[in-house]
This record gives sequence, structure tokens and C-alpha cells, in this order.
Amino acid sequence: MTPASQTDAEAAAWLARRDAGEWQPSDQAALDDWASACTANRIALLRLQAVWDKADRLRAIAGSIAIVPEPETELHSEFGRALRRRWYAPLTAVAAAIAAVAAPLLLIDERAEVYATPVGGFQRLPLADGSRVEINTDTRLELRFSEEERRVELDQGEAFFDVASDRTRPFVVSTGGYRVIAVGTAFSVRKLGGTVAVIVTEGRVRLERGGGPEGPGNSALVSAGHVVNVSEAVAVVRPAPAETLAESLSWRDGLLVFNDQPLGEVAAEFNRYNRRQLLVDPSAADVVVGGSFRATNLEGFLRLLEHGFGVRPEPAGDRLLLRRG
Amino acid sequence: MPQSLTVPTKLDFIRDLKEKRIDPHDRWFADQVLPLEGALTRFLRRVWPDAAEIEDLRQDVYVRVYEATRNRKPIATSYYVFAVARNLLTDRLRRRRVVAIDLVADLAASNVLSDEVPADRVLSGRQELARLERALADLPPRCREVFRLRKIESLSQREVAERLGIAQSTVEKHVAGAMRLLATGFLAGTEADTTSSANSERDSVDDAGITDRR
Repeated sequence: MTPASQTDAEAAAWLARRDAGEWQPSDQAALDDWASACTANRIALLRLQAVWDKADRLRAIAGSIAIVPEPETELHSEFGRALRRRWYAPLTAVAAAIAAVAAPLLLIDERAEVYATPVGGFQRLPLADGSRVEINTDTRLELRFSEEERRVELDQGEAFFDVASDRTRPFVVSTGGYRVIAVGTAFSVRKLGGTVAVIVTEGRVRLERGGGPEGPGNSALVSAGHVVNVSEAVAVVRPAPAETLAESLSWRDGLLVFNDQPLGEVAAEFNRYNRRQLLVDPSAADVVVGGSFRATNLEGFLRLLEHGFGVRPEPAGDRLLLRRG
Repeated sequence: MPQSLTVPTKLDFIRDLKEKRIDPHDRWFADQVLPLEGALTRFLRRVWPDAAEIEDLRQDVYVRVYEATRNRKPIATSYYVFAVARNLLTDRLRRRRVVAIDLVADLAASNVLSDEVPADRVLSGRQELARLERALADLPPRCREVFRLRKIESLSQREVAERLGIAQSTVEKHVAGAMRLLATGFLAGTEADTTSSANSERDSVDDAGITDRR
């Protein structure tokens, strides 16, 4: 294989010679041959040319022209516009996507991209359509985008979706026999065992039960500020105060927020994020916990239980038994 | 290196670029993949022991991504590109006779990419311009002067040669060098990295870059 530095040097030499003028059709033919010889050559040309064209923008500040923050005049081509508008958007993307890579991409086949997070994991996924997905602990989902729809299959766990508007391609999350359909909105879907919960924070979604006919019994519109709980084929939609919604979505900041909840519920929530599983002894069942905790900081939580409530963890097999007194 | 080449035999894509026509796949690549270069390079530098191989590895990642995505674009591009990079490194590791244990551990670590992250922001036109200016400031003086006359004052290469009293072939070499340094400096990303990577790139340009093909 040709070393990258040599490929780069050759590509630059071609472009510089082309830039020199007196460029003949035979020269172009020779360049085309070189560019077609291997993908690396083509990419080297593309890379150099893209930045070289971008450098035309420097001309604007040369002749004492005031800097125009978003000059519309320098890059005319569709390519240039696209570059200028979105050139760095993907950096945001990488920042987010890489910030907490939890598990490697499992596979990309023809139809689907599969993403999974381990226990305690968290993953931000910026998508090509401009939507953003945040994936909570112990979650597995598949992305299947087509011309007709943007489909996400949530196999297990929880994810928050901030959907870019596209009326021609609905964004559909299917899980546990239900479909949550959005056009441009923000909502989260969680599937733990057989139960599904949907929280809508912006816009509206349509909830459909799979299999059955469309109709009042099988679909419902859910507006922002509402929570849907589904279990055993019954979906209950109810409004929830903003604080409750915020608490339910606090995992997006890596936090668990509890509002005077029994220790059993709190332990179950910690168990979603940590490999070391907690059991609550009846002696500690009436302890009520409030406040916010970092989801993966189990040690800190246990220390607090001990100092605040006299609840101590005791090893019980591979779990920890929380006992009081 | 690449097993299957999907490059059409006739492309003219540079000219197409000038004439506002460009292969959609090339545009996608320039638009979505090239901006990741800074983060990708930092990642490779951090996990790969041999600094001399970084540029080749990056080229390999680009080629794999380019060829694998021609018919189907990933939905989460940045994630995809880094997954390709990790797969590539894993393949390379298997072929090495001696492998540092910590390298394997590092690659396997779940948060291996977490430090490579550029700040979570979108560059404005003004910031982009500032980045171009920084990359320009890093050019060697003669190279920068040629760039300024050619690109900012819009002189032809022949006119630049006359103005500076140097051979036209020398101007052409400086243009080639400027192209390489600008691309690397601009794509490198963070301020800190712009300087260091542009410098290392400059060395290689001095060594190998300004060689006359003809």
C-alpha cells in the first residue's frame, strides 16, 4: 500500500498543477486515472480540495472588508453551502457520541444499526436526520431508517428521543407491541420487562397498539406533559407535573432523583445502573429516601444510608442486603 | 488494501466540484466524515503506540468508511467512523507479534473514546474563519506568502512567480505544500492540536511533500 503521506503529496501535486493553469483535457484524463486507481487517492483529492475551497473565505477579510459572520457570497456551490452550514455540526455529534461510549457498535447490516449499553452505561447518539437519541443503562435498540419511516426498535431499556421534524418520514419507536409515532417532538420510552412507559416532553406523539385495527381503542394521542404506563395490554395516559417529568428524565444527566420514595423503589432504580444488586431487608423497608444521586455512585449512596439511616449493607451471595439496626 | 473498488472509472469530480456538481457520496464524505478528522486523529494517537503509523491508519479508516458507505449511509456517522477505527486497530493488533497488554486493555475499555471529544458546540462561520487563519499562520513564511498572493489577492501562479521573482515550478510546489498544511491544520480541530499536528505535518511536507512528480 502506498503510504498516506505519499498519497497526500501526490494529490497535492496534482491539484497544484491544475491550479497553475494551462490544464488540458489530457491532463484531466490523467488525473481521473490517478483518482480512480484507488479510493485513497480519491479521498486525498477530496480532502485537500474541500479545505482549499473553504480557504476562499479568507479573501473576505483581505481587502479590509469587515468580517461577515456568515458570508453568503463566498462559497456559491451547493457543496460549499452544505459544507459551511454543516461542516462542524458532526463535531458536536462526535462530542456527544464519544462522550460516553458504552458498548461497541454490535453490527451494521443492510437494514439495521444496533446499539447497546451495559449496566451503568449511557450513550448519546446524534442521528443523520438531525434527531438525537440518548440511551440509558442496560438498553438495546435497533435503528432502521428507510425512505418511508425512521424506525427504532427498543428491545429493552430506556431512551430519550429528540426528533427532528420530517413530515414525510415519521419517527416510530416500537416496543412491547406498541408503536410511538412522532413527527417532530421529544419523548422518552422505557421498557422494563413487560411494562412500557412513555414520557412526552415536547409536542405530541401517537401511541398505537400493534396487531389490532386502528381505532379509539387501539391508538391515542399523547401531548407534552403526559406519561403513559402500559402493562398487561392496558395503557394509562395521565398528566404529570413538570417536576415529576424532570425527575423521570434525570438519568440524562447521570442522576437519579427521588422524591420521598421507599427504599425498595430506590434500590430497584439503583439496580438498573449497577452490577452489584441491592436487596432490601424488611427491617429497612420503611426507610424513605429523597434527593438526587449519581446513578453509578453506589458507594456514596450506601455510605449515606449508613450515616443517615443506620442501614448497613451485608453481603448476601453476590448481592448486598440492606438491613437496619 | 481495498478488496473491492467501487470508484467509477470516469469521475472528473474536481471539475464537478468547481461546476457545482459533485458526487453525492463525495459530498457526504466531506460533509460528515472529514470534520471528524481532529477527534479521530487524537484517538489514534492516544491508543496506537507507533506515531509514525497514525497517518496511514487514518487513511485506512477513511478508505474503509468511504467504501462501506457508498450504498448505505450510517445513521449515526460519528459513532460509525469510530467503530470502524476500533475494528481496524483490532485487526492490526491481531497481526502484530508483540502486543502491549495495556494497549489491548485500552482498546477493550468501554470508555476508550471519552477523552477525544472536542467541545460540544457547532462552529460558527466566524470561528471557522478563525480556525482557517490559525492554520494559515502556521504555514512556513514563503509558503504563506505564495498562498496569500494566489488565494487572497487572486493572482495566477505565473503572476505570483513574477511578483516574488521565483520559478513558476517553485510556486506550484508551495501551493501544493500550502494545500496539505491547511487541510491538516484546519481539520485538526482544537487549538492545541492545530499547532502540534500542523508542525508534524510540516516536517513530512518538507521531507516528502514537495517532490516533483514529473
